[in-house]
Order: sequence, then structure tokens, then C-alpha cells
Amino acid sequence: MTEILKLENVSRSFDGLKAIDSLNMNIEAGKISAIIGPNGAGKTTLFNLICGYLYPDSGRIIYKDKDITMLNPWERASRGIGRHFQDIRVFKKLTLLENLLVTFNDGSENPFKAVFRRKSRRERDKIEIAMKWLDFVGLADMKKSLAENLSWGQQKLLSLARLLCGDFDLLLIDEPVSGVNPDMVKVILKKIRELKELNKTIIAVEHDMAAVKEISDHVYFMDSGRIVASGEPTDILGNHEIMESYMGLDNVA
Amino acid sequence: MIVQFIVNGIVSGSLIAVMAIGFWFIYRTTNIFHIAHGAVYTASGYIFYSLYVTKGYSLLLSLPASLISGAVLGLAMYFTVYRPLEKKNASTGVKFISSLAIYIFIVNVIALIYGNETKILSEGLSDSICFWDIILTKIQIYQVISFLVLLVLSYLFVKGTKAGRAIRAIGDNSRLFKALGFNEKWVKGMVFCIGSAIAGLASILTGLDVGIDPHIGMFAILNAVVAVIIGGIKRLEGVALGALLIGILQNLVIWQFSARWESAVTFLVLVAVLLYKSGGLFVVKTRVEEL
Amino acid sequence: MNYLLHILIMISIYAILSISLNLPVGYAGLLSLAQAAFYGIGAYAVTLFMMQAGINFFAAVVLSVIFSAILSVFVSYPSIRLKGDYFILASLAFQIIVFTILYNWIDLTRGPYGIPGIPRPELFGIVFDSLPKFFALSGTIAIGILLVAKKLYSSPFGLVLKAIREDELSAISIGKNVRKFKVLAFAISGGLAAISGALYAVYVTYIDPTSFTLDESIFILSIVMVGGSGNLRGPVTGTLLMIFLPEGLRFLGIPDSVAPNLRQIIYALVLILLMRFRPQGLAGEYRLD
Repeated sequence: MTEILKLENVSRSFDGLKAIDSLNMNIEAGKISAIIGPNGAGKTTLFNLICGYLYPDSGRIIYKDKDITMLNPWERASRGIGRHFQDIRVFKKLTLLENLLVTFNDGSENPFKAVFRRKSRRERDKIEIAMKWLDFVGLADMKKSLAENLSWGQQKLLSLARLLCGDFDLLLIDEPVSGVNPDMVKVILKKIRELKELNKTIIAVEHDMAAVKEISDHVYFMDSGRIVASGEPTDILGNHEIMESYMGLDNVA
Repeated sequence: MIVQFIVNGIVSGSLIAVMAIGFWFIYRTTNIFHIAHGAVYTASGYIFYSLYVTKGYSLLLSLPASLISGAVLGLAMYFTVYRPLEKKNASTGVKFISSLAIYIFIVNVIALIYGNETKILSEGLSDSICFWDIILTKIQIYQVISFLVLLVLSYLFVKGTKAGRAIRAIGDNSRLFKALGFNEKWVKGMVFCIGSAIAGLASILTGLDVGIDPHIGMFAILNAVVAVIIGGIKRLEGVALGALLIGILQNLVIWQFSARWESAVTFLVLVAVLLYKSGGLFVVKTRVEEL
Repeated sequence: MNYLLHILIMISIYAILSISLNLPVGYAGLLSLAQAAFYGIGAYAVTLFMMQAGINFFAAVVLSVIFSAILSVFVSYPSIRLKGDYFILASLAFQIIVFTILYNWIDLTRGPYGIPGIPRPELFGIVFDSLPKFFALSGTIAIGILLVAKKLYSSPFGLVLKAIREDELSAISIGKNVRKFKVLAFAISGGLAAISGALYAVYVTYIDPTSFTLDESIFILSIVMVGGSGNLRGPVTGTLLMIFLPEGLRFLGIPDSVAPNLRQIIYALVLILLMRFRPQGLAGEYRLD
């Protein structure tokens, strides 16, 4: 399977306005794809459709060769579709370690098991795995801090760590480097590249063109609910027409 | 025989409708689930009792005075409890609990002052008229007429006046409302006055028939809430219709079974409507959409 | 001394009730006005199992807990998707429906006449028929439940619930079936409330529907709101406060005719103030807003 995700003629309207219009998309496994486009193009809606927070009006979504169009969002997540939100959405009042521990879906969240629980080996294993990912993003020493005490950039890293700990195969990352200082941008981009080595597939929505150029294997340009252009980063980003129509509406790095 | 019960149903439905219209004004405009509306109901009834029965003032004086007192009480509730919460952007849960607490507070103050026994508001039996095998007391006729008059007035108010338009605008979209230049505080205060006065009307109309006690408010507000939900929050006519339906349904249950099951039936209908309106009675897939 | 034991027994019963409501409110973030219904269902179920079927108290409790939990699942599963105020209304509707059934299904429950002469619990020949013995029973059960609750809150299950209450959408994004967890929280809640009901029934040895009204549900919810929810301290604090408060009034010499109303006035004021200035209650963790 080289295509991990396929969208076939997906459409979705809100109050009569077409947010996604007969969209087709094939995402290759193990690659980093970027989606760029002006605000209101439907990028976040697209993510919501893939994750299952919205259902399409028509069309199909196929993930790992299975039709998931009508699947519950949590079922999609448990099959490997992970999401990083634009507004981050880590669990603010949980510690960093807890934020990662909660991603395990191994049946230990059964209330009956809670009563007869001891600090078993399984639990120690889980903590080890969680710490590995906290370490990966460089936040290991803050494991007992509450997530709300992190800076914006650190919260983004935490969100990435969460995605890793949850063992997702397809990562939908909504604006990985927005609102983050340049040093942190480097760190985050490096981590995303390392994700590729772990065989993860990444789709990123991003406005920072430099970042896009640096890490993506493929770029999609979206406008008004459709994919207007798709190809190599240098082709798309070097295309004056596209960039002008984009820049006319957006502030681009 | 069944006709008598249906007529009774229309009468009790009218009373529910009056209360429901008052609640509707407030809920539609402010989105506050004002359970304490029931306390205003109770309080107005007792103020009327003090004026009309204890002090012996005329109906002409006691009735408007009680309604105005109710309006003031409702307004006070808005400014002392709800508005500070609104400014803090409190959740609906916080407002609901606060409303419940206001209700408990007022009702117990009333019980402390007046005691728990039923107070009679009008002495003697009301005259009744009889036609086509149906018996209606004079009071009951006043109840239905008051409801109809209130319905018409409310409808004209909401559709025809500037204030009425403000109510609809704010209920639909708070930002648009501000853009149109209405003052949010005053409009909300106004609906609390109007709604509370109407609650007072419902209370006195009922009280003159069956008397009052400190606990009548909960029953009244719950019926009104069911009516609003069944009838649909958007439209006044729906609320009135919902109330009449409930009144008739309750009386039919009384006719068929014994008196005690009607609250169970009422609330079963409520639950059915709630589930139906939130996506259908038997929904398997949850939609996350509005999160 | 007897009086003190009575108070302690009531505290143990209400502590279990407040812990039971702590799960849906403080962890799943759902206000419920139905707790008295499950309390009543527990009381009546245990009574009927003991008196009609001759089952021993402890076995009857187990059966009642299962019954209450299953009923809770049936009721909460469709209602979970209702938003905010509508969910509270649905719980209120359930409460009233249950009360009406208890009151009117005379053949089963003897309605307003109530069921007198409920036998005391018996275990290995010990009959818990004196105040000290009964307190030993209810106190032990309450502490046991407290410990179980503590384990539950700090378990992976508790963590998931906390995450759901923090950010439901985020919890879904990591694969949590949010509806399942909420329903589980309600099921446990219903089961625990039934235990309280069982203890109440064999303590007072007479039950009638007027102990399980909407007012009672409001009272239980108030305990959780005043004390706070989302942790263990909250419900316990709330219980202690709400049970000792009326006793304190009695101490001050407030006449019995006035005391109940005054008590309600005080706790209503406390609630209003807390909602305004401290929505997490006195000792709770979960802020309602």
C-alpha cells in the first residue's frame, strides 16, 4: 500500500455554502505533504472530515484501503489517524506525563481493572514509553509540570509527543510552527523530519512557506474547497500565479 | 365525559401557557434557564395574598401591584445574580445551579414568613356556568381569556414593536444585536420584567382558583419548561400550542388512569421530544459537529 | 452519644451519595438531578429483595447495585448527547418519572403508605441492630467506597475521564470513545447511589417515596456543588458541611419549626455565592465554567 489516504469526490457544505467541493486527494505513505492556501480555503474543514469530526455530504474517504467515511472519530483515531490542532488542545490541567499516558488505548482504562491495580510492570512500561517521547521532544525534565504552564512552542512539542505516543500512522498537523519563535521553529521542523524516519505519514497545513519548502515532499494548494494545484514544493512555490493569488489574500513569510 | 376533561385540559393548558410565555420571553432573549421563574410565580402569589386578603385592598390595586412587584423581583434576580455571571462568561451549568439556588432561597423565605399551609385567595366557591354537559367556573373562564389576551398582546409586541425586534435579534445573534445599536442590558432587564410580571399573572389566576402554598412554583415552572421545549423555542405560537397540548394530555391521563400518573407521562414526553430534537430518538452515530 | 452515632451514620450514607455523584459531575462534567432516583431505587430494590424474596442483605445489595447500574446505562446512553441545560432537564425528568412510579405503583411499592418493618442486615449470625453496630457497618462500607474511589480517580480510567472533562474533542482525537466513558461513569454512579439507598433502608427500617424526591436530588447535587467535585476532598467536605450545618443550627437554639427553612436559605445563599466567586466549590477541583 503506497497510498495511505484517499479522498474521492468529497464534498461538504455549511448552510448552503460549499466548504469542500468534490475534492480528490491521494496521500502517499511515509511522505510529508503540505497543504497551503488562503484562509477560508477549507483546510481545517478538510482535516475535520478526515478525522471524522464532520461527515461529508458526498464522496468517500479511504484509509489503509478501508472505507472509513462513516466511521466514528474515535474509531478513526484508534486506527491510526492522529490530529494536532491549530489551537493545540493539550490537556491543560494534566501533567506532561499524564498527557502522554492518557493516549494509551490498551484496555487499562477499564474501571474494574482500576480497583485491582498494582503498579504492575505494564504500567512501568507505559511510563517508560511516555518518557521516551517526552525526551524526543526535549520536555522530559518537565514531566510533572502542568501542561498549561508551558509556552506555546513547548505545548506544540507536547502535542507532537502526544501524537507519537499514541502510535498514529497518519499525522494531521495543523500549523506546526505558527506563533512560535524561530529557534523553536527549527526544533519542531527537525522533529517532524525525524518522524518521517519512523515511517509516519504527515499532512501539514502551514502558512510559513520557508517551513513548507524545507520539509515537505509534496505540496497541495487549496482554494475555495478545491485542490487547485499539486506537485513538488519547488514547482508550486516557484509558480508565480499561484503565489500571487495566495499572497494577495495572505501574509506569507 | 371526555369532553369535560379536554375542556379542563384547555383551562390548565392556558395557565401553563401563561407561565410558559413568561419563561419564553426570558429564555429566548437571554438563554438563561431561569428556573427561579417559579419563585417569582410563588412570590407574586403571596404578595397578592398579603395585599388582597390580609390587607383587604381592592383587586384593582392588588393585582397590578403584585405584578409590578413580581417584575421588580425578576429584575433584581437578573442584576444581582445573572448579570455578574454573564459578564464572567459563566457556563450554563453555573447559571442553572444559581437559578435553582435562587428558587430555594425565595421559596424558603416565603415559607418562613407565611408558613407552609395553603392560603386561600378568594373566599367562597366561584360561580359556574354549564353548557353542553360541560361545567366551567367563572375563574376558569377568566384564566382562558387572560391567556388568549396575553398571547395576542405578546405576539403583537414581538412582531410589531422595536423592542420586540430587539428581543428576536438578541436571541438569534448577540453580535448582530450589538451592531444594531440596542442596549443589551436594558433589553434583557426588560424581558425579565415582562416575563416575571406574566409569571405573577399565572400565579394569581391559579391561586384565585385553588389557593397557594410555598411549593406551587416548581410544578408551575416545570410544566412551563416542558411546554416551551415541546412547542419549540423559536416561536411564541409553538409555546402556546405546546402548553395547551400538555394541559390536555395531563387531563386525559387523569381521565384514563388515576390522577397521579400525569407527571410521569408529561416528563416522558419531554424526554422523547428532547431526544428527537437532538438528532432523532434512536441515534447510533454521535455527531461531534458542534464541538 | 446515640445522637452522635446517628449523625455519623447519616454522614456515611451521604458521603457515599456525594461520591457517587462526583463521577458524572466532577469527572464527566455532567450535572445530574437524578441521584435521588437511584438512591430510591437502591432502597426499594434491597427492601423488596430482602422482604419478598428472603435474600440476605449483602446479596440483595449486590443485586440492587447491578440493577441500578444497568438502569443507569439505559438512561444515560441516549441522554449523553444532550447539551448542557437539556441534559439536566432529562435527568430531572428521569427523577420525576421514577418518583411517580414509586409513588403510584402501589402493588409493588405500597406507594405513599411506604414499606415498614424492613429487617436489619445480618451476617454470620451478627445482626446489625444497634447504633454502634450499624455505624460499624455503614462506616466501614463508606470508607471502603472512599478507598475504591481514590483508586478509581488515580487510575487510567480516572485519567481518561479527567481528560474528557478538560477537552472532549482532544480526548476523541486520541481515540477515546467519549460516550462509553461517560456512560460508565453514570453506571458506577448509579450503583454507588444504590448502596446508599440500601443502607438507608435498613437503617431507618421504613421507606416511602417522599425520601427520594426532586428536592433530595437537589440536595445531593448541592453537596457536590458546595463541597466541590473532581477529587475526593470535595464531596467529603460537602457532606460534612451539609450534614453538620443543620445540627449547628439546632445547637444555636433555632426552633425546629424554623430550622429546615433556615437551613435551606443558608445553603441556597452559600450556593449562589460559590457559583459567583468560586465555582469549584470549597474543596473541589472541577470548575463548572
